[in-house]
Amino acid sequence: MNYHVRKILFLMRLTTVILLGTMLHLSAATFGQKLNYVNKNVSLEQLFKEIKKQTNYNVVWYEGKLNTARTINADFSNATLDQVMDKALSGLPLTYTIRQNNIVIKEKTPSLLDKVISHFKNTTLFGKVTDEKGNPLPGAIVRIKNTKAIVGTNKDGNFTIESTEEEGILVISFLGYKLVEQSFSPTNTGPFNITLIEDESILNEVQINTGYYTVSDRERTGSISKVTAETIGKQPILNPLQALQGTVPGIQVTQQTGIPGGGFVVQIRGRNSINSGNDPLYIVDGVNYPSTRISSEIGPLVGNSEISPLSMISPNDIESIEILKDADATSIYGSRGANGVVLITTKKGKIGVAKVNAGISNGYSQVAHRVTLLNTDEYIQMRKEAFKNDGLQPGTRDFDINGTWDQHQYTDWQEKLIGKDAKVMDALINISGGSMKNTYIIGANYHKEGTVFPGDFGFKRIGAHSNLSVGSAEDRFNASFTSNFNHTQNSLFSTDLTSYILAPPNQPDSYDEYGKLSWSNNTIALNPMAFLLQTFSAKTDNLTANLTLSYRILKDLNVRATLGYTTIRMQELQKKPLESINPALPTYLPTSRTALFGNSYNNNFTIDPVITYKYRTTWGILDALLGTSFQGNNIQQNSLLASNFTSDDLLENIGSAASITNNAINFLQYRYAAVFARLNYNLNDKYLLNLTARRDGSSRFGPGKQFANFGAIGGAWIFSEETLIKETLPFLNFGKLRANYGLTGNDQIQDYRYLQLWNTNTNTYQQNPTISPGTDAPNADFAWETNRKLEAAIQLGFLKDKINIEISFYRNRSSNQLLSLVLPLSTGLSSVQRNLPAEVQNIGWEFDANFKLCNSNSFKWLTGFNLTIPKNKLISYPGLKTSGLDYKYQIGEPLSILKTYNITVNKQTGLYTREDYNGDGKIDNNDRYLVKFLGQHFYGGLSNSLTYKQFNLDFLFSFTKQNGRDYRAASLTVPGRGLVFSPNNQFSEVLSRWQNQNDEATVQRYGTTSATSTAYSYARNFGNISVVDASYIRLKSVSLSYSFSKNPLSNLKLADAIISLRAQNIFTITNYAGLDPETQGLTLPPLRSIVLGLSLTF
Amino acid sequence: MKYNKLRIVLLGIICLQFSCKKFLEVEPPKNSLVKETVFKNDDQATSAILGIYANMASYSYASGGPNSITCLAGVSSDELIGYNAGNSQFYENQITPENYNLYSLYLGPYQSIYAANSILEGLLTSNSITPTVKTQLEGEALFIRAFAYFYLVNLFGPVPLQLNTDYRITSIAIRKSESEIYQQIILDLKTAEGLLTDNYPSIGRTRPNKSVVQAMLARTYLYLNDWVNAEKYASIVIGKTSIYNLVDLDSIFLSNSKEAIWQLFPTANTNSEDGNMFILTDTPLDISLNEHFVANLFEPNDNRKTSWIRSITNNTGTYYYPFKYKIQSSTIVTEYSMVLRLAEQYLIRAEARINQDGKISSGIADLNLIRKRARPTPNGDIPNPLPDLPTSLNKEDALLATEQERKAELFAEWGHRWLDLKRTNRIDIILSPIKSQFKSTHSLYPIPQDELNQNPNIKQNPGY
Repeated sequence: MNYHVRKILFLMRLTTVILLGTMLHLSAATFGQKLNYVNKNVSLEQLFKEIKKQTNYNVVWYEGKLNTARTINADFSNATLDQVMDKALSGLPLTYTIRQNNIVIKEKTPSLLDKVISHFKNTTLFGKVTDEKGNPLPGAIVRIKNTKAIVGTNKDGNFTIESTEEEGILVISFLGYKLVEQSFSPTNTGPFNITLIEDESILNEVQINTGYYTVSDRERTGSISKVTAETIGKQPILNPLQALQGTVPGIQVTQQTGIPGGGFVVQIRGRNSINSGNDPLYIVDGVNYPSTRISSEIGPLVGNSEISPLSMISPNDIESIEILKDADATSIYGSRGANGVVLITTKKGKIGVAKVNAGISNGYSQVAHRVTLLNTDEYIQMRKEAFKNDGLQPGTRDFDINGTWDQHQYTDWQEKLIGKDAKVMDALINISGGSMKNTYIIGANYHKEGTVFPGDFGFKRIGAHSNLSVGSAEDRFNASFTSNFNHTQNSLFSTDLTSYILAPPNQPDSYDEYGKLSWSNNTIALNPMAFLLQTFSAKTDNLTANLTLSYRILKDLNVRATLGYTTIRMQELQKKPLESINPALPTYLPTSRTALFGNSYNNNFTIDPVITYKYRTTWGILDALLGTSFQGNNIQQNSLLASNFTSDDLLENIGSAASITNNAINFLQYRYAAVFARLNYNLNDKYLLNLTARRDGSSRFGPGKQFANFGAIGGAWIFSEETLIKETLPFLNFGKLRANYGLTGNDQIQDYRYLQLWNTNTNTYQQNPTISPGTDAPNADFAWETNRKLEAAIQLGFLKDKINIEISFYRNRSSNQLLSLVLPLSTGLSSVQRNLPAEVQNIGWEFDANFKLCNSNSFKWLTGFNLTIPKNKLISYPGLKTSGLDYKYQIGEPLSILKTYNITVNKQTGLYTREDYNGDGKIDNNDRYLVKFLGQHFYGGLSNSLTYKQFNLDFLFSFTKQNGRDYRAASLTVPGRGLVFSPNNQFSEVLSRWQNQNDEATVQRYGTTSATSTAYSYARNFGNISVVDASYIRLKSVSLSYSFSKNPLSNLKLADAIISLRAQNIFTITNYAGLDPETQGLTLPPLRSIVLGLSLTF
Repeated sequence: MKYNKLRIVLLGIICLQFSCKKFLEVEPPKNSLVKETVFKNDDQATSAILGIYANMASYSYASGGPNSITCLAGVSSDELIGYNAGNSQFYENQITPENYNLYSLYLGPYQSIYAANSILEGLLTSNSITPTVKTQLEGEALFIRAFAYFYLVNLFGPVPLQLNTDYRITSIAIRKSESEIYQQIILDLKTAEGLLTDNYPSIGRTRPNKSVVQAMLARTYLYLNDWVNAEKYASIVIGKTSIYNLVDLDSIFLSNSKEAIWQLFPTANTNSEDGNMFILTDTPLDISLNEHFVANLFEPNDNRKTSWIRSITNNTGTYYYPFKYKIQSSTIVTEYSMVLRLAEQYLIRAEARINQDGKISSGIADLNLIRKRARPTPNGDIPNPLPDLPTSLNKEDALLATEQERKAELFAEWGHRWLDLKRTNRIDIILSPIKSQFKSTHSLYPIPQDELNQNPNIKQNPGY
C-alpha cells in the first residue's frame, strides 16, 4: 500500500478515536496492564515502543505536538500505564486518554472549573537578577518554562511573575549571559536571587543579520563580519564607513579627502568589474541606500570628491553594520550582490524602564603631517636656473623673479591654507525602554565640524532617530517602525586649497591693508583666498523610514512584509561673486557674477513580502523562506545657472539674475523586482546546509535581457561537536569548516543605456529648444555581469573561546563583463555599453583572530588582529590587443595597473626621457612596457582593548602595504616654469635635479619651455617613476575612558557616567613623500582628531 | 491534489513574472526623447537640427572661442600668440596627441557629423514630417556633414569617412584619402544645393540656405584648384545682390548684416565668443595678435588697420587684438559669429579668375572691390590712399596680391590664414623663418591619442 494512503487511513482512524473519546466523555481509567522498564535517558519514542511491546497499546500523538526525542529516566517496576504516562508527560501541557488499545496524547483542555480554580491558585513569584558583581541587570527576561508567562526585570533588576502552576521552573535569560533555570514550588515562591554569569562562548549568542533572515554566528554558513555600536562609538568619526577601516577583513575603505562629508571608496574583496560599478550594495534598515554621490551639480565640490551619502547617517544611531562577503551571504541579493552587501541597522529600544543616555564631546582636527617645500631662496634659484638652462631671460610676466615681487618675502602656504585647527563637536541624547511586547527608542544627535581652511566653513548634521516595536498579546502580530531623519549642511567653497600650498613662497599677501583681496597690481594670477569667496553650500534632508509587519499564522509559519522608503533631498548653491575675480581680467564683468542653483531628489522604495517556515523533525530543523522584492529608485536632478547679477549681495536671489540658463537636468528611473528563496537545514547543530536562490529583473537592461537567476549552496560542519574531537582535542571548544559556491550579478551601470535617446540641450538656438542625440551609442543586447564566488573557511575557538580564529579563502570570478567601451572620437560618440567575455579574478586570504589575553575581574585585555591578502587578476579579455585598452590592461595582471615608460634623466639634456623600448624610432603607447601595480598587497588592523577597573583603553593600528601614485602625478608644473596657470612651487626633492652635463640625476633639470613641460608630464603621468610605495602603518584610533563607579552616582540618580578621550589618525609611519599615503596626491589628507567626551546614563 | 498545488504555484510564479515585467517598465527620462518620437513631427525634427547649431556655437570648433578653429589654427599660423598650456603647443607647433584643445578640433566636427547622420537616418524612416520641412532638414544635414568634413580634411588630412551612425562600423573605420573625402563633400553639397532654397528657414541668417551651400561649394572648388567651378559658384552668390552686399567695415559682423551669408547665433545670451575671447582689457592670458603679423598686415592707410585692430599697453607691455567684433560681453546681442561672408566670395572669385588664362584682370577687379571698401576718403595729405591694384599685374604678382588681400581681410577668422598657407604650399616659406620649431609635417595636426587608442585601424600622421 502506498505510504500516503496509509497515512491518511491512519489519520482517519485517529480522528474517529478522538471523536469517540470526546463524545463518550470517557476519562482515562486504570487498566490492568503493567510495565517493567528501567533505562536511564530513554527517549519517549523508545518508551512508547516498549509500551507497545509489553502491553500492545499504541501510543498516538499529533506530529509537532510532542517532541519524542525528549528523554526521561525510566524506572518502572510493575507500573501502571497511568503512572508511566504521567511520568512521560510530566511538565508538558499535554494529557492523554486511553481507549481500546490506543493511548491518545492531546493538549490539556482544562474544564471551566479547572480554569476558575487555577485562577485562584495563581502564585506570585518574585526576585532580583544581578550580574556576577552584584550589579542589577535591567531588561533580563524571566519566563516560566512551558507556559506563556514572561516578564522583564525593571531597572533595579527586580521582577514579579504570576504562575498558574504551583510548581515549575523559572528560566532567566539575558543576551550575553548564560541561561539560568530556577525551580519553584508552593514552599518556595521567592524571593529568588538570580546571578547571571557572562557567557564565554560568544559565538553561540551573537546573532547575525543577513537582511532577509538572521542566523547565529555559530551556525552561519557564509562569510559575514559584524561591527557593533560599541566599536563604532569609540571613534570620533563623522561617517560610519570610517569605523570599518582596519577592523574588518576583506573590506577596503579608502578615504578620498579629509574634507568633512567627503567621499570614500569601498571595495569588498577587490575589484570585480572592469568598469561598471564596484560599490557594495548598501541597505539601511532594509532599504536600499545610494552609494554614490547624490549631488545634482557636477560642479566642483571641494577636493574633487563627492559628498558621501553615508555621511548623512549619524554613527551614533547605528546598532550594527554587517558586511556580507561571499556567495552564501550575498546571493540572496542576486544581481546586486556581486560587490558585497553592507547592512546598516539602526538602534532599537531595549526592554526595561526608560533609560536616558546623553553625551557630549568636543575637540579639534588638524592636518597631521606637513611636507617640505622649497623656501624662497631655493624657489628663486630654481626659477633663475630654469631660465638659464633654457637660454632665456625672465619675461615681463615673471613677476616672481623679474623684480616685481619682493624676493625675500616668505609665506608658509601650508600654515596659511590648511594649518588651522578645526573644531569638532558632538551631542546626543537617547531615551529607550519598553516592556516585553513594546519597546521604543527616540533620540537626537548633533554634529558640527569645522575645516582646516581659513574662514568659517564646515559641516553640520542634526538628526533624530526613533524606533517603535509592538507585539500583540499572543505575540502573533508584530510591528516595528524605524525612522531616521538627518539634516546636513555642507558649507564649503569651490576648490580644495591643498593644491595651492604650492603657491610661490614669495607671492605677495593675499589681502591688502584694508583686508580686501589683493591682486598686487594684477601680478597675482591665482589668489587662493579668492576661492574662499566662491562659496558652495549643500543642504540635505535625508529620511529613512521602515515598517516591518509580521504575523505568525502557525507556530512555525510566519509572514512578514518590509516596507521601506528613503528620500534624500539636496539643495546646492554655488556662488561666484565678482569680488572673487581679479578686476584686471577681461572676465571682470557683471556677467561673471554667477550662482548655480542645484536641486536633487533621490527616492527609494522597497516592498519585500516574505514567508518563513520552520519544520522540525527528529532529523533536524529545516528553515524555509520565500519572498519577493519590489524596489524602485527615482532620481530627479536639475540645476540652473544664473548670471549677470547687479550685485554680489544678490547672488542668492535667482530673481535678480538677468540671465538664467538650464545647467543640467536628469530624470532617472530604476525598477527592480525579484523572487527569492532560502532553504536551510540544520542537523543536530552539527551539519548545516544553506541554499539560496534568486531570480530578478532590472530595468537597466533591454527587453529580453532583464531577468536572470542567481543562487548559492553553502555548507558547514561543526566538527567540534563530534565526540572524537571532543575527546581528543579538549582544548578546542569550537571548530567549524564551511564552504560555499554561488553566483551573483552586477547591474551597476547607467540607466537607459539600451535606448537611443535624444536629450534636451542646455543651449537653445535663437530661443528655440534644441535636442541632440545622446553621446552613448544605444545597444539593446547587453545583460548581467555575473560573478561566481567560491569560499572556504575554518573557524576555531580554543580554551573556552579565549582564542578565536577564522581563516577564509575566497575566489571570485566575474565574467560577462559590462563594459562601457570608449569609442573612437570619430564615431562622434563617447561610449557604448557592452558585455565582453572578459574575466576578472579576485582571490584572497582573510585572517581574523581574537584573543582574550587576560580576563580577570579587574583586568581585561582583548586583542584582535585581521589581515587580508588580496590578489586581483585579469584572466582573459578577448581582443584586448585591438580594443584600444591595450595600454591600460594586461592579461595575467591586476586591473589596477599602470603601464609605464622607462624614464631616465638624459645626461646631456637633463630632461626626462622615455625609452624607445621597441626601437621603432617612435615613442608611443607601445613603449609603455613596465607594468606597475597600483593597489594593496595586503592590509589589516590590530586592535587592543584593555580594561582595568573603571579604566578602559582601546587602540587600533591599521596597516596597508600598497603601491600608489607619486604625489607629483597631481602637480604637473615642471620645476622652474612660470606661475601663471598653476601654483609652481615644488617639494624639496627637486633639489637633487640635473644641473650639469653628464650629471647622473634622478630628477629632471629645471626648465620653463613647453618642451621641458611635455617631458616632465609624460614622466609624471606615465613614467615608471610615477608609481611609488605608499605603504603605511597608522595609529587609527585611540580611546581612553573612565567609568565612574556606580555607588557615588546613585546619589545623583545616575546609572552610569563615562568620561573619554578619543583620537583618530594619531600618527602614520610611511615612506610616502606626499601629504598622506591614503589620499595621495595633493588633496586634503584624513585629519587627526582629538575629542574629549562625557556620556551620562540616567 | 499535489499536482494541483504545483499548478497553483507555477501559475503564481508566471503571474509574478508578468507583473514583474510590467513593474520593470520604466519611462524614458523626461528630459529625453526616444529616437522614434523625434522624427514624428516637424518641430521636434527641427529642434534636432537646431541642436547641431547650438552645439557648434557653444564653446566648440565652430564657436570662435578658445577651442575653435578661429583661435587654434590662428595660433598655429603667424596670426596669433597662444599663452596657455593648451594653445601654446599650437603656437610652438609642438602639439602633442594628448592636447585637449586638439580634441575639440577633431571630436567637434565628428559630433556634428554624427548628429547629421542621425537626422538623415531618422528622416529616411519618418513619414509624418511635412515634405517641405523634410527636404529642408535633409539639405541642412547634408550641408553640415560636408562643412565638418571640409575642416577635418584640411586640419588632419586623411580621416575616417563616417556616413552612418552604427558604432560597430564607425568604430573600426579606416582613414580615407583626401580626394575621397572631397568627393563626398562635393556630393553632399550638390545634393544640399538641390534641396534648399534661397529663403533662410530662420529669423536672420542663422541657418543655411542654398546660398550658404553655394558659397561653400565655391570655397571647396577653390581648395581643389577647380578654378572654373570656384568662379561659377562664387559668381552665383555674388550675383544675388538683392540679398548680399558688401557693407562698411564696422557693420560687417553685426547680426543679420547684409554681408553675412551664414552666421551662428551665440548661445550663451551674450555676444559672439570671438569678441569675448579676443578683446583685451589687460595682459592676455590666452591669446593676442602677433605683433610681427600686425606690423606686416596692412598696406599704408588701410582702414581695416584702424577699424579691426586695437591694442592695450600696461606695465608688462603692449598687446594687440582683433577688433572685428566690437562687443566683449553684453546681454543685448548685437553681433553674431560670422561663418561665411560675401567678401570671401569675391576673394575666391578673384583667385579663381587669376588662375584662369585671360581672366587675370577681372580677378584683380574683384580684389579692388574689397580694397575699395577699406579705403579712407582721400584728403590733402593722402591724395591716393590704398590705391587700386593695377590690372596689368602678371599671374604671380596677382596671386601674391590675392594672398596679401586674403590675409588683410580674413585674419582672425576661421583659420583662413593657416589653411591658405597650406593650400598654396607656402607654409614652409612663410613659417619656417619665424617659427623656430616648425617643420613641414606640422602642416597637419596630429590625430588625437584617444582616437589612436580606441581604433587600431588609425595610424598617426607623420612627424608625430
